[in-house]
Amino acid sequence: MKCPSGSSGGRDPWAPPPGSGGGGGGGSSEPAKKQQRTGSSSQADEASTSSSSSQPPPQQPPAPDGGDVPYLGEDLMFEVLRRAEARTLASAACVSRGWRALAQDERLWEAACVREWADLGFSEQQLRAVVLSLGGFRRLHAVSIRPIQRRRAGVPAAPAQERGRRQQPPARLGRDQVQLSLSLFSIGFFQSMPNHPPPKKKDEGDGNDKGGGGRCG
Amino acid sequence: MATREAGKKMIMLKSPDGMEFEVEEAVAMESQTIRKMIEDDCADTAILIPNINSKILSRVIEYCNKHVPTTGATGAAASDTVAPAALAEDLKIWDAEFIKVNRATRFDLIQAASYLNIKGLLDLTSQTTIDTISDNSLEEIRSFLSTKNDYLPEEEQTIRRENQWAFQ
Repeated sequence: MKCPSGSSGGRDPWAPPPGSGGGGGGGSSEPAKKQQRTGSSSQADEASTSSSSSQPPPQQPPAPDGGDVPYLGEDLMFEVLRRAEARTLASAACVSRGWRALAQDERLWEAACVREWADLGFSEQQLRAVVLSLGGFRRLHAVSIRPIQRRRAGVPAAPAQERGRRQQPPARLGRDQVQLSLSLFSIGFFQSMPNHPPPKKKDEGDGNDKGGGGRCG
Repeated sequence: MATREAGKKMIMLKSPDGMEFEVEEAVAMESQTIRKMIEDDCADTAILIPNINSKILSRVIEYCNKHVPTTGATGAAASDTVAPAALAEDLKIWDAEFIKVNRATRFDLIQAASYLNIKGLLDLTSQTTIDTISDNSLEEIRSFLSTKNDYLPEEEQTIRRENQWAFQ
């Protein structure tokens, strides 16, 4: 009976891009917080070694220290976060280290991005392959979705009229805007490649550069 | 879909704390986990549901009772005359009432919905939780999740700056 674990949504086991992905550009200064993830799974054994009080528990993952509140665990927190908008993911990352590790999962950002698109125009598999190879969904959102939304929203002000931060659901992008987002994203990627081809290639060796000008670096 | 008026098959669900709940098979099969057990014939008439105490299990059954397709638990055959849209609206209102529970119960319900694989309930509980998270300030989120801020001050500054847009 593997239903409970195997069935929680279409959660593919595809791996988030290792290192290379997030490093595509500026957005992600991501120091190695990986030990946080392992720390959260081994929360059982921390209780046993309470004798050494010299080290205060420095970093707690989303922890069961709330009295009778059950600890959801990463799997279920993931399940909850799967429904989060990008904005909520971003604020969740500020909650704690453990939450940051959780909220940076590319699959969550994929869900958030796709939800903000009314019409994709092609398969999600295709999208995933492209976006992951170009730096990931979190970066995609930062680089090409958020600016478009901000522009569409027009007035960036007046978020405080209501208490909730959710009052203004992100404008969904139509197909053209999706295409535009993705184009900008890929252009941005290639521009920031460490060894991206210089604007002039070596083809001046053909000798047919009569003008010779046009070379401004 | 076709509910037979007479011979409704009943299933016994047992919680680990010893309570037993007799429910219609159709209701129990709102849970994909139980459905699979029934279909695979690994369930007789009584199924032990581990990890879900009777209080939560009874809420889950309440939910399934309400959501089972066909002439649901709403007042007898009246649903024949009710338009589907109105029925859906009614369900939404019912859901909203149903989920007005404290945080611990809600988290328990999430766990139960996940284990029993009841999509609607998992959606409802998770969505309500994420709504709570996105509606609240950072401090409120921390207290809601019983999570401590373990960032160093400068670390937090950086991460806050990175995600500044989320708070604007």
